[in-house]
Amino acid sequence: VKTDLLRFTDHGGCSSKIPPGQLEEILKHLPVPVDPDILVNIDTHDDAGVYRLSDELALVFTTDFFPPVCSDPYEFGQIAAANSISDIYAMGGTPLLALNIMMFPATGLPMEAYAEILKGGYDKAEEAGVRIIGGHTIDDQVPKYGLAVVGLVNPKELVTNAGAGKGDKLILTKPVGTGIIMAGHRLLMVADEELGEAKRFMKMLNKDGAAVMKRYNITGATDITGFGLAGHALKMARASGVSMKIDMRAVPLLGSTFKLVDEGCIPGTCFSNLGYAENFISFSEGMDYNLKMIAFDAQTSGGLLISVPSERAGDMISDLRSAGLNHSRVIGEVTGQDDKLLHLIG
Amino acid sequence: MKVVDTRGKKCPAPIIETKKTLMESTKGEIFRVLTDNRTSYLNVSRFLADNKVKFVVTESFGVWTFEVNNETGISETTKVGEYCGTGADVPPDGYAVAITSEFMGSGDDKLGSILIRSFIVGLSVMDELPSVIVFYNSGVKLASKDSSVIDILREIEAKGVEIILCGTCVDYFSLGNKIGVGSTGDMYQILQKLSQAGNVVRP
Repeated sequence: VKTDLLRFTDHGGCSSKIPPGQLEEILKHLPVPVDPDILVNIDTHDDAGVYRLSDELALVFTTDFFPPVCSDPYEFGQIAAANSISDIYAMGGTPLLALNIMMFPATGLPMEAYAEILKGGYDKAEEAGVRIIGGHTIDDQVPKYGLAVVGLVNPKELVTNAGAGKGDKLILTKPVGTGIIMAGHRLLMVADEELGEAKRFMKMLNKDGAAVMKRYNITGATDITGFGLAGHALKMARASGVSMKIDMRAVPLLGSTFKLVDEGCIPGTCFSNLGYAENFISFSEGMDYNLKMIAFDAQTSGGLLISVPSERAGDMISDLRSAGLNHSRVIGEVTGQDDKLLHLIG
Repeated sequence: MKVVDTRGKKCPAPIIETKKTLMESTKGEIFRVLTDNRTSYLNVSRFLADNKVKFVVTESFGVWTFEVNNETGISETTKVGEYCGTGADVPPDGYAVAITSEFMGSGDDKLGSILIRSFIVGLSVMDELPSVIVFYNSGVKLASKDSSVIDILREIEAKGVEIILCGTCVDYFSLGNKIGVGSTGDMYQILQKLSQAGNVVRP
């Protein structure tokens, strides 16, 4: 019998995050450790924490885990691992070591499924050159999986949310729509083949995109996950002290994303992400409602959003495409900070 | 009065059913939507408000009842149908541009080269941009990194126009590692894009 992991959960992947407003409320009561060697902490809502070991070397440290995004255990393992490792790439780091984080029911699911999830994780880690050297499992009704990952970075080559510069162009390396496609698939509005395309992107490491990014000495980038394209752009704009303009018409979309939203297939996370962010965002007059909602779709293992000096954007797009990231596009630009951190057009 | 009962269904199903009923209703028609979960109640409310659809909602014993009034006749003004059915991501009222040569017209290639450049510059400032530009035969040379129009093509692409290069042609001219814009596609994709466009413009 084939195991269907999706029967355990209503919404998987990065759409399972605690609503951002709620999370901030809790985190603000916690003390933030003070240490001059902490180069990146929670203040700038970045992808990972960074700790300096020497002038030449710093640790990048992150974790991410979530309930199933697909039926097949092996594919779920691959996607969860790609997603966890992505934060290291988004900081300009090289992932090195990882620990498995697993929740799995002691009864009610075949242990083969457990093994398959781990296998998917190991295979993806190997592709990234990451050694998994341990882990921890808890008995829990709904399976959940991910990694805690350590990477290395030269502090001078660090890429953060705070590194976007005025006048830069914004490049996105993967199409958007994984949350919408997955919701549509649950409602039988999306065929298996199309879901397959979405899964292909979710499994894809941000390794090649990050390698191109390093060649261009980029200082500002992030990966797009649970808060959606607009949510992550907003965090970056805030951390960098700039405003950003994104033209949603230029954003590459997965398969039938637009059609699904047009038929009302708008996942709940779009609304919660929108509710959290909208005070800081302006929407162009008469903006297409579907494009607006797509901007807030939670992505699982989404692409890199890279802030690149304007005169180099064209070359970078070519290089990203040559590296196999065919959907890479300039989707917007960075401006001086004005009354709104993000301007969505479309 | 039509009643859309979405009780027991979670988001986004209630929104899908609400939107479907809204699109099928006539101007001025009133219908009800029922939901029994708070998230769907909030999201359907937000969806209707954002789309400027008039509604009132009441709650009783954990069931929210929307009375939706299609006062503005939303279905008669929205182009929703155009996106459905074809499986295409290009609305059929758009147009496609097919660039089949690095020169525009025949007679003198030097002139043809000047003409194609001004054609592409002109295209970039059109009020209505094409949905897709397809390059084939020697046309693909225009999309190479050292082409004189590369910056303009990139600008057009950044505005959301899809650029497709004939893969066979890219290989034929050995441009594989010199491509500066767009992505390569096979003949099937090219045919699909051209056949789905409302009009095809060929310089």
